[in-house]
Amino acid sequence: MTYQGLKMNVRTIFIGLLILLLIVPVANVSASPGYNMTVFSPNNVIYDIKLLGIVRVYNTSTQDLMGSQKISINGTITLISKRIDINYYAWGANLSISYLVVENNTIKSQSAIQIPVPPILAIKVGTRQIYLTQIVMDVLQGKIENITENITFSDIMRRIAFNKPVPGFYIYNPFYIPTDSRIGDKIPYGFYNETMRKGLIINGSVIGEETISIPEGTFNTWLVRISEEEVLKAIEYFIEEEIELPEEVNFSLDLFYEKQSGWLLKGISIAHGSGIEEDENVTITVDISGELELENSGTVMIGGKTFFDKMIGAPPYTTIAIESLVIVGVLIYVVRRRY
Amino acid sequence: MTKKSFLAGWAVALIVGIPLATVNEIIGLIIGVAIGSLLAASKKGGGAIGFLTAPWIYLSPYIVPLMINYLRGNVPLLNLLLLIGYGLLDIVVIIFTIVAIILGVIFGYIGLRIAKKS
Repeated sequence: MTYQGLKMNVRTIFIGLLILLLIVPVANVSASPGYNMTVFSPNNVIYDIKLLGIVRVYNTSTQDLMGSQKISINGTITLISKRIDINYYAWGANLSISYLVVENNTIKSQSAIQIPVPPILAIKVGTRQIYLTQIVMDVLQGKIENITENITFSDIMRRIAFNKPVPGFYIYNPFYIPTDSRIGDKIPYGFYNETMRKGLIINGSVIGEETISIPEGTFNTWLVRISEEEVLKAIEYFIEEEIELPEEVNFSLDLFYEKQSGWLLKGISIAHGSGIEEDENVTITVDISGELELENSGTVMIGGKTFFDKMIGAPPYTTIAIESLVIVGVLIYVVRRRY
Repeated sequence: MTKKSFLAGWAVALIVGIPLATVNEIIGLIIGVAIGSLLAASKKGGGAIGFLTAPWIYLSPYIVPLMINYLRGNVPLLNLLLLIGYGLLDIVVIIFTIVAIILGVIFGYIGLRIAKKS
């Protein structure tokens, strides 16, 4: 190859790369500062769920246990997602749940269910807002109940293909927080109606850093705590009325988010309440505990590992490094080859 | 363009595009199709690579993990088919396929010019 030829090739490659650089920012409008790009599109992200609720009834005078009921729910939730347009991803899930109801040490009922939820909730890229989509609104408004003469199968297919987010109402996504969070920051949870300019917003607080272990390894996390005072304050604001909880009610929810990605690794909730029914001379206590733990982080880049890095057990950024080498190799080959 | 360069371009588009798509599917799609088409070095070949690889690259972050989950026995076949069917029923897939064809033609042409000048 002559010097002149090489110069021309470099110029052509440069033009090609320039086109790529112009297109990529448009495509990657999502890469908003403050959020890891992969948190908006989780796939194969599996959480273990454990929920236990115990209700006990005591005789107030003698403190003898008169009866008890235990409900336990165990299962997994697998998150799936796909892009619906440049600004939104749709999230769905595959739920696999088993529950057991025990009354006075006797099994009353138990069952296991599998529910596939297609991607029907719209996540706005660069935010923590979850919007409902048109198909969810149609179901909620009773427009899609049965396939009848008015709603045909092809009509439903068309609605699925052209499904779009409905603005006006959003829910705060609890699965991730901004990566630039610091101790003392407030993280909102709940929902907000943009039309009515009103919502139930519970502020969690980043109260510290913790190192936690999950099946995928040990990670540094931000600990976000939602206290009963915050929940009470939010409900009071929402219903515009003062409420007073009995002293015997305690509640706390701790959420652990990985620092690098801002993704939720673990959630622990404990609630306890008790009350006295004076007419019937009984004391009722309720204990609820719940735990959510990440079993598989799928396509979310936790600790800098891509989906394929995790699949082959490679160190962080290995796939991206190999990809870069392949791209450079192909470009060198394209410039040097002769017909 | 030769048959060999077209096949190499098609394979490279998938090899480069799919892993990048798990980070961001649009970046994976653009870079995968661009590199594959450069290698194919023809407008027709680039367009064909865009057409043939775009749906696979674009939907790979959604379909590949579902398939892996199914193979591990975590997702029943009916649920897998329902979720994949829902994923495929999307007008955005067609839009991105058209974008990929145009991109393939542009980069195929650039590849052809480079090859001719060499």
